[in-house]
Amino acid sequence: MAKILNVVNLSKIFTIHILGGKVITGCREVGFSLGAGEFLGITGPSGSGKTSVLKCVYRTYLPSGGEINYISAARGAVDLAKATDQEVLYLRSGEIGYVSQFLRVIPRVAALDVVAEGLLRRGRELAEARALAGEYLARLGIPGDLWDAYPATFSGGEQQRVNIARALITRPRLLLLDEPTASLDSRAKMTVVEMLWELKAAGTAMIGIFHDLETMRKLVDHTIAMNGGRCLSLTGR
Amino acid sequence: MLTVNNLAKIYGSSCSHCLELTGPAHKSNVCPRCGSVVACANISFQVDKGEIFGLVGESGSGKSTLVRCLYFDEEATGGEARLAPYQDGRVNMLAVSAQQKRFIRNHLMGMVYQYPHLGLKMYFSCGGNIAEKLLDAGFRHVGRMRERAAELLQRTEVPPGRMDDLPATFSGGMQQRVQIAKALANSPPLLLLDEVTTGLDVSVQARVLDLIRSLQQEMQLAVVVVSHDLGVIRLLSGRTAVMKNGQMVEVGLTDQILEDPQQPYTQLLVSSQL
Repeated sequence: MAKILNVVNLSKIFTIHILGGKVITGCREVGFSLGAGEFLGITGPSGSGKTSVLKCVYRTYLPSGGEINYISAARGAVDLAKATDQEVLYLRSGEIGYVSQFLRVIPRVAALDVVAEGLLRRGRELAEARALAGEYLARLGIPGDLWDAYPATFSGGEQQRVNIARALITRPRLLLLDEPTASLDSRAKMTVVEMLWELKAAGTAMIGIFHDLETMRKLVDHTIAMNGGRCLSLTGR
Repeated sequence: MLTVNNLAKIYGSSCSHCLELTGPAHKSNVCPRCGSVVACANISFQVDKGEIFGLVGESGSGKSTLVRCLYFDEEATGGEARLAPYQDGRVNMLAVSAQQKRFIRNHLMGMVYQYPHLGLKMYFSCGGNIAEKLLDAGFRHVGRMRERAAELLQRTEVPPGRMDDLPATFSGGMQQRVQIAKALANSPPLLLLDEVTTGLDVSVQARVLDLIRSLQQEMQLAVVVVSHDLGVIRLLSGRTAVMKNGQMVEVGLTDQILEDPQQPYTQLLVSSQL
């Protein structure tokens, strides 16, 4: 399958100036590649650098070294480690999605509009975007009478489902998932796995961090195990 | 949409050492030789169409002076600013005649100040305030102006029934929404927001932020948001610049600035957040 992401020697070192220049390693010399429709799982104990890898790819962290070669549908080959901020914003709005561990949104915006936002940014009509947002929320088991409520008042599991709906609805080409199923019950987990499968079948490449290895096994094609910021092993399924 | 190069604003006589002896490295923006205050120096950045650009920093770091220079409230001491819709972005708008500056301001920019009394005439009706901007932008038909004012007030959620009331009788949040309506009256491609939610209570603050964001998306505005509140910046802007002692110390994606700040000052700022 055509590769769309190729990470080479990725390192992230934090220098904390306010602690006298203390140096903390996020990850070191991490490498992997990913084809369209492939799912890479990252496992490892807390603090092993899993999120650092994900955040470097999304460019929330500025990589300290290495390459993150992404083949964009619109722009061709882009090294995300060195791309300009505007380029990254462009790719985020059209191709690269991220599901964080926690939902952080503008207060007092209805759940339905939070989910529809990405579609509006891509120029879809409001009514159409809202209708599709409703479908996603319904599928994830958020009852209709909560759609116009504010997600800040939702339970942890409900917030996480809003978060997932919001990222999946745009059908990104590359999707980064940071423990997307951590606070979900088993039924919601099944639905999420199903929805990720559909995206995967349609060609979305994904990188996911899971503590719940059971769920992960249902999705991944390859796994990397990390410890102490390094990639210990790369295995197929 | 907006390109700024090397903008500087110096208050005082200024000498040839002002720029090299001030800034974050010297922890001051007062020139030790001549005592001039260097409010902004070496400021360069770009804002694209449909993009929200954030400016953060402590009080006195030069953020407000910067947007005031761009809106011609203050005259920049040096540097360039180009606006794509003005002469195809070929002309430095900081150096054009007062008449041209008025044209740019009336037709191509909107500004919302922290204090509503700077942007609104408090004892002029709300509709009158908006009409003022419309007149400046070349509207002449009274009926059409009232129509447009009503439309804008509705969009910013001010009851149209209060169009003929005085802003002085409004609450702070409502005054701020009238100010936003006025700033948008001429459908400007560039909107400047100076601490617009500072001083509003949190429930109103959330509404105003949501309003700004939906208007921005709908109209594909380029927006410069000044705030000392990282929360506001996080929710609104895609890219952010951090200012200190009149200079930009770091520019980056907003989430990168907040989660992986590079410069010592940015790290201090981010880690001081409640």
